[in-house]
Amino acid sequence: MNSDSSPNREWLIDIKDLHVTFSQDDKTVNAVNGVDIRVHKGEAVGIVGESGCGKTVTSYSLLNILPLNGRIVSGEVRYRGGNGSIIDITKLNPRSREMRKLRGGEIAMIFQEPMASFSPVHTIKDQIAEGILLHQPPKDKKVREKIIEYLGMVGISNPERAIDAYPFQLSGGMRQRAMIAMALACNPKVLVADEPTTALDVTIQAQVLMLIKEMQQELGLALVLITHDLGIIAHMADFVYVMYLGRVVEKGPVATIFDSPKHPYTRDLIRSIPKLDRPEKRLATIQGNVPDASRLPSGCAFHPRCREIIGEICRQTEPVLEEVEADHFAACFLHSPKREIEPGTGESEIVQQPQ
Amino acid sequence: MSNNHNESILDVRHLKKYFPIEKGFLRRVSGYVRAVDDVCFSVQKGQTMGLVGESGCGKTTTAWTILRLHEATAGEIFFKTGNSEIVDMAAVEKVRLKEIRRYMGVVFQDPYASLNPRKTVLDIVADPLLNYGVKRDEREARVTELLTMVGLDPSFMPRYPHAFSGGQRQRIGIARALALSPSLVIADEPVSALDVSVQAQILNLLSDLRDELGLSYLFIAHDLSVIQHICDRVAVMYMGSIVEEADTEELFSQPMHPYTTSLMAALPVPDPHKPWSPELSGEVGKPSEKGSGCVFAHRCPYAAQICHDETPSLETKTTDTKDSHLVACHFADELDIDA
Repeated sequence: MNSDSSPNREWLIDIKDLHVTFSQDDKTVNAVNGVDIRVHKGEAVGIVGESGCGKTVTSYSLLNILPLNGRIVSGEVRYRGGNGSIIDITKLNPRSREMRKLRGGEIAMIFQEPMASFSPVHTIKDQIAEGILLHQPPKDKKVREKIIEYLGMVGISNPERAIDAYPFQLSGGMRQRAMIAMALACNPKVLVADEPTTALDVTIQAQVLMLIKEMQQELGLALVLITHDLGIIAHMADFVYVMYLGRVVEKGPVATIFDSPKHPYTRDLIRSIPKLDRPEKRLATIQGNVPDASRLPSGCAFHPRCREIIGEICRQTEPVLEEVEADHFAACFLHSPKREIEPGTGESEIVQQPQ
Repeated sequence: MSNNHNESILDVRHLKKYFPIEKGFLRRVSGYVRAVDDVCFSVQKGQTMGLVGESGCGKTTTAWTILRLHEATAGEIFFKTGNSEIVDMAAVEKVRLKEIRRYMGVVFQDPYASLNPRKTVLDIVADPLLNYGVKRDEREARVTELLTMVGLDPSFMPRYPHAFSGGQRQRIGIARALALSPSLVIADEPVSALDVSVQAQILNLLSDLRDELGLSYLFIAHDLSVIQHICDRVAVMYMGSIVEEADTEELFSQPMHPYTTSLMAALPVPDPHKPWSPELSGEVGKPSEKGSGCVFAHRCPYAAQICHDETPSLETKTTDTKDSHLVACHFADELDIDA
């Protein structure tokens, strides 16, 4: 692996073979099925996929904030602390002191819906102060001044007034800025942003994304950005993970993913967005719908929708991520050397494939 | 206003919708939210007219007023019904609404909220038919036809909405909108709740249905790339007013209003090699605090004194194309903003 060999790129977060399930009524939903994600210092990692692909669950596992019916079945989420110690987050009790220290203090999160993720009955000051007092009670400066400083930093006009406001008194864009201020207030190393702008208008979305990018670069943060919007990924991420039904199907540097996508899912996803600069009369589509995560297809999870299906091998064997070019991995038999090795499982089946 | 060489199915003239702001115990009216403020546009037969803008710009209120779900404060809404009668939706007697509304289909934004979870697909799609007295066996035959038309298996009829994915639900919603063979379909953000791969399917379906059935659409969206893909003509709205209106190709190749260009610049293009430089600062203003002058003046980088004092009217600007390109900007002829 390329990223492994370069010693100057030290990882901060290393997710290994993560499996997360949810119990719903009496069935089990496999939300995340063996995901490996690595986040380096100062890097912006983008996780992209459609609803139900497990991107949000993956991010919740990072902070150990899975809902009560969710369970990390196996795998590791390792975090490298400031003193070089390596902590496996999955082994920590979500309510333990160590986990609470990491959460917010080292790894901070920006949620999708700022109205739903702030408490409506506390002022902005009280909510930001809670984190600061827990993680870094200031010695010299008063908490209030520190909060005003952060609110100003994220571009809230008149922070002296906004600090005493309740969340409902702020507009959507300002609320999301306050959320960013709250996330940054404890000097985290990693910022996790789960669809941070989905609830915002385009012009406000642009402002908030620019702010996140600016803060990330200025403070040297590692960013984990989760979104369904390929346009945002293209401009915000350095390294991209494409997820489908709880698995990473492709990963690589952002330019490579957009220039030469290898997995049929990534290719179709990119082709199916209407583009401002290249208007087409008819959009390319991906046939069918994202299947229910409680009834995962056998073999490659994408095979029922795949236009480039090879044959029986896709239906029976689950492909693994393999390097197709430097630093660029895809989980597809189209690019796998194994395809040639296993006789009788591939090519002859194509004719029988109903289209 | 409208292109004379074409036949317009909907002609909205100087439409206003003000909502009163009530204060105090006596609920005295202290002001008005001017949600739709002097809006004019028309929808041509067989074409798709797009309304685009950010939340609160009045695009949904416009649609609701056209459907007479809101009473218009002022203005006319001329709608040509299926039997070629022209009625003013803003003034027509209430008893006639049912008979007229059958020619208008509506597709809603959220396919999860707009389908009754206690009704089967058959009941949902057949509901408009029931409303207009279609007999039982004819209803079933029509629903079969409709479901096939929108790409669903008619055997889904006895199922409930929860069994369907977002895209399939939106197909059910479209089938319901088409049940009475409307001539105008009002689609309010029909794809914004859907995943990208499914969004493309629904957009293609809507275009196909328009061509097959000769429908006309009023298509409301906030996403410019979706608008560009499906619309023939586009009106850009900001704080209750149309600031620019032109044919799609013209609008996207030669935008003239500073708001239109900011909106385009704000959209991240899915290509990491293309520069992305959104510039617009500030937030959408409140329609209740609208003063004199251009609605966009408080955010406009080119605003001069005149912009704060005088409201620019929506006027035809000189362009190379024959179809009209309307802009409401004092400096539309001088600004070279697409460069």
